Amino acid sequence: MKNELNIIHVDMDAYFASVEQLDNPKLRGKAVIIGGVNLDNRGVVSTASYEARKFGVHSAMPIARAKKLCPHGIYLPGRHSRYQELSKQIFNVFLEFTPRVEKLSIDEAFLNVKGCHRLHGGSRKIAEQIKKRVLNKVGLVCSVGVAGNKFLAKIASDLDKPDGLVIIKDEDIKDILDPLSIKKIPGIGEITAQKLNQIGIYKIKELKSLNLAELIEIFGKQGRSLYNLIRGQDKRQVSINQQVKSISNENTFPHDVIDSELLLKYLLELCQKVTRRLRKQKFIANIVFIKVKDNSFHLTTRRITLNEYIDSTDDLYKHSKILLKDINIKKPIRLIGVGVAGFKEKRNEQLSLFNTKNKEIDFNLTIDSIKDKFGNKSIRRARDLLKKEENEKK
Amino acid sequence: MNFKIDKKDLYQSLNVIVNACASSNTMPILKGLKLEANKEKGIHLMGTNLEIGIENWIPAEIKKEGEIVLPAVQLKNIVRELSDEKIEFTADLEKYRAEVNCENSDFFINGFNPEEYPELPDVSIPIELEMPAGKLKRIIDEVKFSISSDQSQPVLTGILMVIENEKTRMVATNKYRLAYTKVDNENNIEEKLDVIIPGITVKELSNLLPEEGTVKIKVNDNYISFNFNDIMVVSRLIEGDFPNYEQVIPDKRKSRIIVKKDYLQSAVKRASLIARNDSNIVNLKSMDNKLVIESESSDIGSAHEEVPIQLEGENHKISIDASYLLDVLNVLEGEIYLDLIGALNPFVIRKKEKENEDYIYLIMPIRPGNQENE
Repeated sequence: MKNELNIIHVDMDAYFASVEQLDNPKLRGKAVIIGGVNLDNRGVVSTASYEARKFGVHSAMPIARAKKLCPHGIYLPGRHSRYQELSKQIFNVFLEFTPRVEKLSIDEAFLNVKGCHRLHGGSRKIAEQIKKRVLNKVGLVCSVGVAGNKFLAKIASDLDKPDGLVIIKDEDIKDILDPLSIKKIPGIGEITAQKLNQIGIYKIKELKSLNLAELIEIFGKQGRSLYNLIRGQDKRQVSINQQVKSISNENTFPHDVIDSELLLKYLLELCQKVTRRLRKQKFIANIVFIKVKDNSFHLTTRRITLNEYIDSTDDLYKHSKILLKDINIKKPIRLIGVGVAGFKEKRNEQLSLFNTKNKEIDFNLTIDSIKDKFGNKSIRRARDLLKKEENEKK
Repeated sequence: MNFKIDKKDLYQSLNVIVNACASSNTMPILKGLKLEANKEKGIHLMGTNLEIGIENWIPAEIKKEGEIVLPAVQLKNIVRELSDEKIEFTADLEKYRAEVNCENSDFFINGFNPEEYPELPDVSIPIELEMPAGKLKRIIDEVKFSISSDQSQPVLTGILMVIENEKTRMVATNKYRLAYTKVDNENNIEEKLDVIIPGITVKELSNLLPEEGTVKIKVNDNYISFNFNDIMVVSRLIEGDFPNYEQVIPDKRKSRIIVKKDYLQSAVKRASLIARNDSNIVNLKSMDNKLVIESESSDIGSAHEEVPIQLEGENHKISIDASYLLDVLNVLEGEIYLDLIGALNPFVIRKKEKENEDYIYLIMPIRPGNQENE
């Protein structure tokens, strides 16, 4: 049976930058770059407007490099609450068409429009209407992809950015996928791509020359789904549960850090942020991960699955410290990140025999409520003060 | 080196020794075991991964003495499959190569230089103590299931053994439950000694210890050794301070429930069929002459069980992890005591008292998430 083209992927174009241009008409038509907060040249670009992209600026690029490429660009720190606010309005537009909306990020979603055709017309018509409604209601432009599954829909929305609308029909799958770079495939990052390049594989067509066994050998378990993806097959459903899968925070330092004590202080601060968000969601987590980027941009990550579920700052700090120690740090560090995953709803609290833990639970909740009431900086750990001193020295 | 040996004796010994040999990711020689033929003493087999070491003497007809290190798992697998009852063993001590020979089979196995194999640490005698093997096995089995597997707190991954005067105590905990047992020593020990024995060692011992006979235990600051039936197990000790277990064992109670272990065990087992699909919580509620055990899972359904009890004191309810309760019921017999203070205090399980012996098991309750504290 022929696949029905029921899956739509909507991706806002240069979202953060477009919101700034929307709110401030003077920025329109200019190279706008949203990046790390108050960190001058040390942050990374989170979004660049299309005007800035012409100069080669793209997201995840260090601000310092962006400034070299595009010195006249307008660099803004970003206003996340505003982006959230508009994001809500955008998602409300999606919900006018179907209840089956899977949120991928603040500005990106999958929609399953199966069964909505009598009400709203064919998939192309729905896609056109979504673009129109988002533009009328919020004033922003998006790109839309329509296809028979999530992988293809996402590829489609990316083909004609900005303001695109691309439909991938079954008969066109091969012609569209074959010439694409392997980096377009989710799960193939820079490093994997480099490895594949070394064996002469740059395009999806070339990746197809590997058989299933070879792909499994290279990619492990993911090999099988990759084998299907590059042939345009993807069985993943649009899942309405917009469940959070992980919570993490990271920090690009104002100065590269080599002192391990100072590094631990930053780590502690991040642990506080992460666990506070975790407790707010009423989750407990059993996976802890950290990432560390050194001054040559080499990224190292470590993760561990715990035997227990945690949500306290001290527990996260304890485990992430062990992970950090496991990394052989030779160069100064520019970024550190910590996160948790493997969530379970916190319904019942296993009490501990050695009651430091029970006291810690109350302690964390008290800190949280003070911060909720009086703001994030109203109360802090003594160790944080040391960090402040350290920064002031420099 | 040349000797003839009974296949069954050799295989049984290899099966013991192999547990102490390294399994992977390490120096290749540590995956081997040392085999020595000594005309007076017999065959000496020894394996160690530097954490734990096991050695064993077995009889054989020895024609020529010598020693060699051979890959443990391979040797065990070969010996297991040999069809004859007697095996002839020859080794070229220059080339570190052994020949295993019986009527229709002939194996050559490449080995290592025995001089490069680590010696077992000599646990020379600050403290020496003897204990019936069956008793040691019993107290290990009574606490070992409470050992924590959380590697971030190494002291909890072993059993605390305290030897003092006439008593030996063992304690294990994972922070949420704790098992404590105390037995009389055969001889009075002058010095007080507390050591933490790694979980792996304890589990090996539990498998190896016979019901009959005596175990000689030697302890120094870093190592402990156990000697029984021509087997010696040596283990590194875990460094660090074990949490203060005495402080958390309650010295009072509000109620005592007396219940037959078998009744309680089968009821909790059934209730956990539902509970394990969720967070494995069972709710216990005493109602005068019965104990009600309930569990609930939002997807599957719910369970209600009743067990006859004798109650001294007031009625109580408490929520606990079913697996913590089932673990202890596995090692208890007959009538047991359940002591309660409150819904947020430790739940205490005791054997019906026996003279000079003391067993205490604590489970910390679960604070229900959507209810107010009591």
